[in-house]
Amino acid sequence: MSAMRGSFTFLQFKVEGDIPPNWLAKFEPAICLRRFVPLRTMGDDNESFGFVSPSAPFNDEEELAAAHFVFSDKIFLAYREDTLKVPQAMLKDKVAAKIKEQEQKTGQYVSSKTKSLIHAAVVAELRAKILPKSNVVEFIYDVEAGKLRFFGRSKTVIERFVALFQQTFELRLVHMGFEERAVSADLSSSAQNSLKMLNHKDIFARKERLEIN
Amino acid sequence: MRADDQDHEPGLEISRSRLSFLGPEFLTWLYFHLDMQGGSAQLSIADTQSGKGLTSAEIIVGNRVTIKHLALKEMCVTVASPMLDDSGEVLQAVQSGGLIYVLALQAHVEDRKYDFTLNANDGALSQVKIHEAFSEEQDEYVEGEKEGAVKLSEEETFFLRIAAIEELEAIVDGIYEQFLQARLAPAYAYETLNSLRNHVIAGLQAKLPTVNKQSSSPDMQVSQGYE
Repeated sequence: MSAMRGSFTFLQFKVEGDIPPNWLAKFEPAICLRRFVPLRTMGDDNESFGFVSPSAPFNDEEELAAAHFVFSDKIFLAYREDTLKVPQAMLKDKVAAKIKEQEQKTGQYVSSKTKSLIHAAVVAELRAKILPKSNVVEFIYDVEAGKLRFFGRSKTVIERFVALFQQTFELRLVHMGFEERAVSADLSSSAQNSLKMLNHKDIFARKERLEIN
Repeated sequence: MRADDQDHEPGLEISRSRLSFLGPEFLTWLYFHLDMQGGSAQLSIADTQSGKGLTSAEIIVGNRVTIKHLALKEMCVTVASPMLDDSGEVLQAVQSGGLIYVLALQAHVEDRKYDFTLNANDGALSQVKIHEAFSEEQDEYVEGEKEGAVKLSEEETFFLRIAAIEELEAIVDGIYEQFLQARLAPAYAYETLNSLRNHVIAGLQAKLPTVNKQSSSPDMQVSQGYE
């Protein structure tokens, strides 16, 4: 889902904290430092996340530079997370087959150390064949207005994104649900007092039901 | 008091989680606020396109609504119909104690049209569709200039899109402000809720003739239901 094409969904956040006057000079290197790095076939990591260019989120070779993601006082980037999951049933079968093959070759039971080596080799072999599952979500950070729009709703993705954003920009994100909007609204003091004591009011209490024959 | 002391009155903090009913109450209020005015209403919003003054927006009930109970979230009614106001299901579900959690809407500002859905739980604007010259339907070409058309640059598309998003946010903020003013007014518990109740009862009696009409006037107290 792209913010620039077709239909989209987004959540609003308020950005709290002090913005330095030369924010681009501070933010650009921080963003580049947390640029998405693809998972390595031979590595142990099963997930990777970071920032990518929204115009080419899967072009791992493209450099991230301010010219790509800064539009006046707005930062337009994407958050990408890759997860690599080796199917456990497949892994178990392949490891068992390799162990059996080794035992038939040597005529001896395989030691636990050898089993570990076989397991690691099979994992590496499967990692080279499996594509990671990728999730890319765009966001627009309006620096001057202190607002951020996140074009996704998955709770787990939002959690990880918020942590990365706060680490990168050293600013706090506050989700602007209807409750937060009410609390943040510019209300008179009497309205604020009413809000503090506000409770839900049913339109129809359970006793008040029309009989339907 | 020292200069760095902070004046914390007990009870000053407002618990956000305690106000989680505001989203569903807002969407329910909004649905009936529009329904009672024939399905649409006008709203003055800040003109985000020109950046000055006010402009008028028309908000119209869309074609989908999801109703749940505040306490029993498993109970869920979704009504999808081009004529939601003709459907008795919405009224029945609300009369059973349900609140609206998802509401599809349309907004018109000058020649711009937006389809979107408001979600009570997280305040998300979902399935947002912007109908305008730079939308995907025109495939990034300026409307009416298909031959030899000028393709919009990435930057132009971005600024046009963000202006539309800001306008849509201004519309939602404007309606929510109206709701908050009504909700926090002392008259809400009596006048506003009574008005909603009467509207629902009248609608049910008109659509469901088998409804027990012990009183001919919707303003009379309703009969006892089962409890």
